[in-house]
Amino acid sequence: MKRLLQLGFLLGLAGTIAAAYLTPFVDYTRYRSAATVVANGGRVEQFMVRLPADRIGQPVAAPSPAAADGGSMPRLEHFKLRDADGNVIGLAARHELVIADRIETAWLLTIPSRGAIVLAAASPASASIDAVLAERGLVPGEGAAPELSIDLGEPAASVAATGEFSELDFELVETWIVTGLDADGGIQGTLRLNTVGRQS
Amino acid sequence: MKYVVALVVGLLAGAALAAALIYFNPLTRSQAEPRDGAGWSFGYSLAAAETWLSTHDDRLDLPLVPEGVELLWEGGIKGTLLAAMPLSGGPGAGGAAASRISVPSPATELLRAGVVVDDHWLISIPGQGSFFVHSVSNQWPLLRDTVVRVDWLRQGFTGGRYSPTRGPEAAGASVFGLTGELGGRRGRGRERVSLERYSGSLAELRGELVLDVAAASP
Repeated sequence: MKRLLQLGFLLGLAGTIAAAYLTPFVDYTRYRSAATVVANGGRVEQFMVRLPADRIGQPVAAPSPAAADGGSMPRLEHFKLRDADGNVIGLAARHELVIADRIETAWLLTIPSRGAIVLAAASPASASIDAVLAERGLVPGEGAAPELSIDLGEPAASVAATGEFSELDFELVETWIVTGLDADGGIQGTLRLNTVGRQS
Repeated sequence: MKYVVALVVGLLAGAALAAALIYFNPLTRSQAEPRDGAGWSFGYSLAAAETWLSTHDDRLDLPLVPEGVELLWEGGIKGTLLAAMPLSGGPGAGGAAASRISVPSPATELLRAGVVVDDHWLISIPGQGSFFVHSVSNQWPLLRDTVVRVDWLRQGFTGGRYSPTRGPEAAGASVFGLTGELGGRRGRGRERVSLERYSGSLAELRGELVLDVAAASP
């Protein structure tokens, strides 16, 4: 019986320690990457955001003491990120700052099962989506027929990447497919994030 | 029958010893406190009144802000935390605006690494630009003192300070300047958090990002 007690003790000790080390505490659903290789090198992958369904919270126009001193307020937006097949695979944050006469845009695309890509772009102030839609004459509560397809501003270039993206340089083009504006001016449609990745 | 009882008692005793070893494991304790230096220091809070946005899969002890915000329930993002908040301090002490996406890492194990979380911060300073901070953190000491000690073991909480940053660089978090006058700059940083009270919610947690950007080379 003493031997059984000792055997049980060792099994309990070793089993618990093995479980603490080997248990997969984190396991994200991983969908097959829809990247395709292009003829001139690199890989093309499209991510998308369905609006308004994938918008998380409302855009934040961040007040701050520095903004009151003349710096523009950062505009923060957050989205669920889908692959080309419509599966939710990650989260995206977009920051927009007006500095002098330029719009500085920063994107953070985080895909838990794969890694993160961080991109930055600078465009003329007239290239904000709100300015472009106003120029097209679209007003709140109005539908766009046919839908509008807008490639916004300058392509963004990656500055940092992690995980499986870490050996790649990316370029991103924001394509807004706008089917209308809701009564509050919120965009209805799809935001397509077209990326091209090339070996660093 | 007595043989079965002996085996079960042995199993339970062994498991209890292993659990105690994991609880007091020095390999997964908090890292060294970041030193105050000439770098930037940004403060934040996770209290509902001090965040613009906070959402997760409703399993975390953190408030959902605003009320009715979309939950992160899909399999590809389940377990992640998304928050947006004002930051105090920074260059000129004018504050900043931050988005934080925290992703529990598959590197999590309780013998050597602890509860590993990849923290992604996108931070914008009005009039100056945006930058990105990637931090690999071990949140086990905080979870051990709150969820395990208070919620599971019914012990009291005495308050604590934690330094969770353990990577991805030896010196801590990686900092990348993105836009404006911050574009092209590089740096490193660490985070420290403190919790004065705990009664089932981490909403009173306060944190500080200590970043050394100026000293880094592009």
